[in-house]
Amino acid sequence: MKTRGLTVAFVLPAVVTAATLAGVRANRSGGRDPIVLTEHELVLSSPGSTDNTATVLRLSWQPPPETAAWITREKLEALGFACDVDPAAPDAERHYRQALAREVYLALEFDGPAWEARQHEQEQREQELRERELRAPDPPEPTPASPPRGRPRRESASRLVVVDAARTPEELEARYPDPRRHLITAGTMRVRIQRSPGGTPALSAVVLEVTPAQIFVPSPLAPALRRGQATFSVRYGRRYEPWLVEVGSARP
Amino acid sequence: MPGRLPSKAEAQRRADQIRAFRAELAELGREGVESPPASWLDALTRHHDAILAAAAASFDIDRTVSEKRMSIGMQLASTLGAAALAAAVVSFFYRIWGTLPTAGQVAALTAAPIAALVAMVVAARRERTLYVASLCAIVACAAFGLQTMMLGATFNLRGSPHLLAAWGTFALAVALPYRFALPLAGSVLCLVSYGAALTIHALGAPWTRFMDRPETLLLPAAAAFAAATAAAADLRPWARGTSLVLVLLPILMLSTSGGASMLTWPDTSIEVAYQVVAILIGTATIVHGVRRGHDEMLVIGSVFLGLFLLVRFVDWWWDWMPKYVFFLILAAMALGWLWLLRVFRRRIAVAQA
Repeated sequence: MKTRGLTVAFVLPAVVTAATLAGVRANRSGGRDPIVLTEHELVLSSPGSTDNTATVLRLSWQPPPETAAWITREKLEALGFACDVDPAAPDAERHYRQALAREVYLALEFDGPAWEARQHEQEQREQELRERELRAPDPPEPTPASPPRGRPRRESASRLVVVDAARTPEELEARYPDPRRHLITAGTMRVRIQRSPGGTPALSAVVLEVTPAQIFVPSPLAPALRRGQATFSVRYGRRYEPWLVEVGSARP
Repeated sequence: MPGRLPSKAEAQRRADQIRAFRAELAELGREGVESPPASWLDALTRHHDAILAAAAASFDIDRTVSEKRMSIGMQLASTLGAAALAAAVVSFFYRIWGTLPTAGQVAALTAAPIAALVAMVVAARRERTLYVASLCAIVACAAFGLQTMMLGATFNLRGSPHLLAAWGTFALAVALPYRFALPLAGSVLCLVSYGAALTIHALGAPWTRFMDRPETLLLPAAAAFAAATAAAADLRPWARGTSLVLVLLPILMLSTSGGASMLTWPDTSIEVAYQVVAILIGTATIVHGVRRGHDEMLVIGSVFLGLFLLVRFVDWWWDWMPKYVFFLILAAMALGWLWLLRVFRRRIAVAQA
């Protein structure tokens, strides 16, 4: 019993490493061509300090615009959500709040119409907010137009926007064949009820996370980050696990 | 000749019994009670000395009260040392990470748990008390966890529930040879969580969200509790205790939040059902613990029932009842519980007499 237990313990780390490397090799043996992202989409998460010399990039992305037409009841049912309760029913809020999140595959569009639509929505919201403040009994001093705290400016916001979801990646591969414009990755979504002022409640969904959310920077590529503005060539493999192929300079 | 003692727990129990017997015999002598014949006392003393010598040779037992106190201190020091050393290993890896090529990173991560295992085996051979070996065992488990997490981070892998199975298997393989309690408890926790993660993953949800449906823990925890009987005598209380906590935790949660249940009943019905289950299971746990002499079941069952009742009372009365009345009722409940246990204890004493 003692020998058997110790043998398993000694062998397991090597088995785990071998299995991991086999999986990595399988992932990187295929997949889509690289997509080039900027520092707005891949944000330095761990800049490398004395105590933590690992360099990690966090994938920054934006949820779909509120006017996104692809989030329909049919789409949510296709993703595996149970949508049989009418959103206007009295127990609908409870039903959909308690529904489990689901693992899905997501298509993210880079620097396309979806990003323009999101920016337009945000600028409209900021404009409405400014007009509301000016109409108030004690309007504040006029200030240069600036976004509320926490909202990214147009030039610094991530241009990666979620534009579609499916249960299998093959559906998205067929719909979005251009790897330079769309990346496909795993993620998690949850259904919710959307209530617009004066309108009927409708089913919608929120993207909770994209997995993996971080990309490790291999040691040979880390020095390029310290030279200033960078672009990142990222490739997603057969298992939709990404890796950093190249770090370039964004300066002309 | 004394028979072979099956485990350290049995050896310690026998040593404590012999010490208490000798102390009582000395006390009786001081009170003027007639001593047994000298020849019988000599034979008994030789027999007890042989038992203590055999127990000391096979296990690291405490022969005196002072030794027992020292052992508790040594166990605490060993646990704190393990936690500090594990933190040192993790911090060291983060510090050197960026300076290593990928191959070096993979090699270092794979070597770390193996190195800790070698230290564990060497320490176990050199030191009978196994305190240093148990420290190395905990560090080995931490190093294995670090290996899997950092390999995943380095290669940007999507997580998998099989990670829990790997952690649980490693901890079990480390715990069983030398009967280390903490790795065993960790193993039970990981393997039960693995069962729950597989269930929620089968439902299409992310495997990390198994606590969104606490019932996913019930079946694997019950299976672990049943399997605890197969563990070595030293490890059985830890296996039982850990799996029992994992059975009771979802029941406590669902007795308050029926919406997290997998059942399709109304929330209130689910909560009432689980409140009934909580009372029945909590009481059964305490009774079983008392009858079988399983102290960990008695403690866990009592804490569970106490927590459950506190949560219920707050839920029912806190908002409208004057606070002093609320706390008076709690005190009355505690006194009532004390009276009930005294009655129970008297009945056990009568039955045993």
